[in-house]
Amino acid sequence: MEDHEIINLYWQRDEAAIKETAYKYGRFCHSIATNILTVPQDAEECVSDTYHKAWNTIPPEKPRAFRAWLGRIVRNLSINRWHYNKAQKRYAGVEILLSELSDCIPDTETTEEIVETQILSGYISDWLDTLPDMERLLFIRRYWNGEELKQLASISGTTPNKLAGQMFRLRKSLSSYLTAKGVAI
Amino acid sequence: MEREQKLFDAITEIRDDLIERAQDLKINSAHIKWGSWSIVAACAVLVVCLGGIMFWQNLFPFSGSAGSGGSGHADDSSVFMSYAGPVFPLTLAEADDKISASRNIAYDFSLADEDSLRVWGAQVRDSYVLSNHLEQERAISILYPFAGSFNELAEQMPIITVDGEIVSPTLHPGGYSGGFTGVYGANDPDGSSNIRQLDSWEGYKALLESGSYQAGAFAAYPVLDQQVTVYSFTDFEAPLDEFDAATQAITFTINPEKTTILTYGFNGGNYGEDGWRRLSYFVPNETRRESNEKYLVVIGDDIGEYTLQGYKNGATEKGNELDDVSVTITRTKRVMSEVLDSIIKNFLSMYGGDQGLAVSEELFLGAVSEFMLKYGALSDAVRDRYKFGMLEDMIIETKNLDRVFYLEFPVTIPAGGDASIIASLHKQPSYDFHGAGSDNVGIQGYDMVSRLGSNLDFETVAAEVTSIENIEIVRQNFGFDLSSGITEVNLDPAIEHYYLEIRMLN
Repeated sequence: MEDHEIINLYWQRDEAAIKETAYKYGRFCHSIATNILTVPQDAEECVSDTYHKAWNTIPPEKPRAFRAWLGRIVRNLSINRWHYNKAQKRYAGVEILLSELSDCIPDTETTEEIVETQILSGYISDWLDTLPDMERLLFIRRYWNGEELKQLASISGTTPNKLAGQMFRLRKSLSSYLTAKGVAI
Repeated sequence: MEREQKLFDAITEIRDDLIERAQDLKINSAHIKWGSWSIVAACAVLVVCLGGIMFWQNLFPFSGSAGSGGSGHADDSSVFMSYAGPVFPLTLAEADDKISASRNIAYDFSLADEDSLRVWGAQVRDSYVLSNHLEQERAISILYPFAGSFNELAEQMPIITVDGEIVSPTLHPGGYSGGFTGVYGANDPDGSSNIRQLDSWEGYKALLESGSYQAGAFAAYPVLDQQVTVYSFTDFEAPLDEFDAATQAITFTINPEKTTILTYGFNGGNYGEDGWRRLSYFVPNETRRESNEKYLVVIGDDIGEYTLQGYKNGATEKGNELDDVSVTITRTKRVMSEVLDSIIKNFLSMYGGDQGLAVSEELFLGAVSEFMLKYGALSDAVRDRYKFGMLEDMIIETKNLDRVFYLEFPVTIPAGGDASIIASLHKQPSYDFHGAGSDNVGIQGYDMVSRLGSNLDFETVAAEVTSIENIEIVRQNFGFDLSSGITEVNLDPAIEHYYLEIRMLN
């Protein structure tokens, strides 16, 4: 079923919308949640909550890119769950990924104006536009989808160790880009 | 962590077109590695979700046991979230009071190569001089224990030299060194759905002190010679163009007291207390990265009548049925060990990684058999984790869970003379997970035990650190003082446990 047909089901308040969403994007949502949380049961709950949120949000919303829209929801729900789990000292999860992101923090004086998340997102999108296709893809699959280096190494035909070095350079590149733009976070 | 979180949130909000384009690259199936199994697992969880059943409990804990982290032992060393185990002392297969020993352990913190960004792990050179106090030469059998797993054995296996010559020891794997725990911690004391690997040297002490664990490592593996009934599934058909998650389910009823079902290649199931079973799998297509081999292995009374039904996806429920899903089922009587052997071969070819096993298939079959009998579906006390009989779980966890291996090799020491034995190994560190909020993030821990599991009396024990330009020592009881140039120390053999915790310098 096409995305707009699924969204129309939501607008018609037809519960088949959730079934069709799960059928088409369930695996996609599960992979993002699992990458962030690592525990299948928690990931499953976040995906279920994603469908619930979609049901409550459409209408009035009418997402233009349904997959990315769903992915953002599951990503936000998963990181919130991770914070909860972390507070409960339950397990490790996305912290390695967050730790890697510390390399991207710009070397900017904190007296600079701290940008809003939405503006920062625009800068990151602009920086991604400057990258060759494969590097852009690898960065997004690592830091948006949360995929493991091992798996990404198989995509790019390299070894995890070499890819780790490449990702490190990408993170530093983003840091330099944000620094040059005078972005403080 | 606030700024990392803000970056995470900002990345969440990058433009739609960037996200969409990044999703559409297909992974080259020629590069299937271990990671692919986690994808299969994620699919299976979806089936569970749609089917309204939950049975995949904490599938991925084996990348490292999670201890409490940050808290300490009585000797001020840390308890790490991921514990690599100590370096053990060498021992003799049979105690011999005419043999004395001295030991020197050296930790080399070199970067792995010029492209390395950080120190991770230490190259350990664990050296011994054994002295024969008799007036005739002495032929002895020596054991060198080390902590590890089948999964990382190739990287963890020590290289042994005797008087400068590399020898080829015999490998004896001990059983799984850890235990199991419930899902709800203190509220679930009898549960066994989750893995609980050892997280301290004291855990290894409790494991090895009696000698029974070592004895078990040298015992012959069990042979699963019972006759079983095997249902093999082939010739899969389904309208996959329209339903790429088309699902085939088989339904039957057993007497759980008389029948045990093992599955391979199945993605989900429904289980009734009265013995009703509906087991299902996604009909294989060209893009799904999982094995096309699917088996039900029946131990005990056969399943009798069964029915087959296709479904549009993993939701095996009324109203979701799909016609034109078919399969050929072949029923045979086979010996369990033969069936398991062929399934393990298939599993490793799909999910075993590029390097394969560092041990023979026969040895690994024995290890899986032992694991199944001790903890798995063939055990008298089946752990909750394995009660649904998924062979994939038992195989992968035999491969990944930590154990103690023993290298056995012969040495002849001349009358009144010495033998030099060196074990060289790359020792992974113990560590806390990044972002876990622990003060120990970024610290690498290295434990060494001085006499645990050994029947030798060490007259002297010394230690050394080399290639220290990239590290600083955070905690230790060795007595090194890098600022004063003290990199070689003599140790007290009476102290059971030495620890060294380092951090990489920026």
